Amino acid sequence: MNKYLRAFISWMKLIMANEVAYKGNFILKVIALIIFDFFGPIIALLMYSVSSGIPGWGFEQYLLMVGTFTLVWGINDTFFDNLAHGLIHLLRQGEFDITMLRPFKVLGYWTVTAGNPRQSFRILSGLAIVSYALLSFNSIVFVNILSYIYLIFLATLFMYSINVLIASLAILFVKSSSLIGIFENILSVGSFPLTVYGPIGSFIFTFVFPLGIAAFYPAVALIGGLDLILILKLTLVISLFLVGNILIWSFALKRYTSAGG
Amino acid sequence: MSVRDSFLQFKGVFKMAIKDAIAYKFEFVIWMIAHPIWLAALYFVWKAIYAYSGVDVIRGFTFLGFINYMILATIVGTATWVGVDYRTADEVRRGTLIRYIVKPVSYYRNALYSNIGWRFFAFSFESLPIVIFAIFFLGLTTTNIYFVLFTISVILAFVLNYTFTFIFGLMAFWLVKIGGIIRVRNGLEVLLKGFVMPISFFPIWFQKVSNILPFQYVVYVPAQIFLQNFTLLQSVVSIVIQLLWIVVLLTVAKIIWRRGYIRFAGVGM
Repeated sequence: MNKYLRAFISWMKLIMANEVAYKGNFILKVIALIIFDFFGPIIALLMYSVSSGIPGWGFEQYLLMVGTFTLVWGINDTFFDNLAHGLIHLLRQGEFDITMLRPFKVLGYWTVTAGNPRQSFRILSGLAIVSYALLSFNSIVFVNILSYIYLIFLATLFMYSINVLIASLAILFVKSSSLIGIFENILSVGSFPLTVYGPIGSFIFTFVFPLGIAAFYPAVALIGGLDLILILKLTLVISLFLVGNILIWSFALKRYTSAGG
Repeated sequence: MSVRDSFLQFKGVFKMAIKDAIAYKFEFVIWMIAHPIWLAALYFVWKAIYAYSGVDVIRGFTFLGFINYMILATIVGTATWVGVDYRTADEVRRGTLIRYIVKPVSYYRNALYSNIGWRFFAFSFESLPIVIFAIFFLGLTTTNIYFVLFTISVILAFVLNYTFTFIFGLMAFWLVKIGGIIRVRNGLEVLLKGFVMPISFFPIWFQKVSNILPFQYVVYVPAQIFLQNFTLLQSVVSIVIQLLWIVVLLTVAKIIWRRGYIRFAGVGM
């Protein structure tokens, strides 16, 4: 078995054992996760009960987007929850150097030991919201489902890139977990249809900082189908975004001064 | 204890908290950027919603009124945020709470003064840019009398939120880990305080439930006072209710503290 896969499995087992050590606390954390995950649908419900809602988006369509956003966050938190957070903690403690002594590439090790199985409940919440929204659709074209799954994969790569970027910025500039807060706020912008931000906003959030992939494009693909050319363009943009952030990571690692503690 | 002694204690802890906060100034600078991003997103989304709905007012809020409410909710939320629950739980778990026996100031007041220092610094960094933007570009303003009432309401909201959060921290006397409970509370609070939307946007039954709980007096009520969506009488009555809630919660906190402290062995790790 590949050593990275072994490390991933060991890490997930370890974290799970740690989480369930205090069972009552674990259950409450899961309940809290679910409460937060259902904020999106609650807000959507309120929006559509007091107004006509977002132009061009019916309630169920918007709910599908909200569910997709939750699903993508769930995948991110299940597999990369600790990537930026854990690294920032170690940087502050001055213990990041230990990572470099391990028989792994630094980013590879961080990637496979960043997950938290508790967060998989967010994936279930996302799937539940998406499924509920889909009940109101008469039929879904099979090709659209495939597009949706593929775009969720791209969204996962995008979220991973963001984590790598935060970790790099933490090494280069600020060893602060508030960096994560900033990116969470930026990513929240992607929980609404890009159309509300106008043509310039849509262009920026598609081709410059592609957060439209986090929910908007997968939802559009599932509802009405997405042009193949646009899917290819998104693939190219996300690939470049990922490569760019890995290069930033390499740059940051070379400038690591081991000055924490 | 004289008023002068209390003031000197406050001054000492406050100054120390400010020095601590300065060490974390980058954290606050980062939030100074993060808040406007979210508010900008809300601006675009609700602008589209109001235009699409073809109405000027939704549940008592014009578009500008709604945006100003969300700005005020962010500002009041920043001013009243406290982390005393985690701090208290940590002190209990580590056993370090024992040191407050020999101090001339109670743990409740020590942590309160410290929180005031932190919030004073954090508020200046995180909220001032939003306040300046809202005043000059969105015309966020109020009359002198409402500003005075708003200021009183925010101060009381801080004490109310602090005391309520403190009670949750005291649960650590009975439970080893309270992170889960705190997260559940945080989740419910976000809705009940009126952070994500004004309480008037919620169904009537939710508003009725909210009326008998203390949460809306932390964010929703001060924001409504500033926006003059409450009459002067309503504002004064709301402030009196805030005071009553503080008295009730302080009494509960004292009872729990006494019972919990009896159990506390001063041992921890």
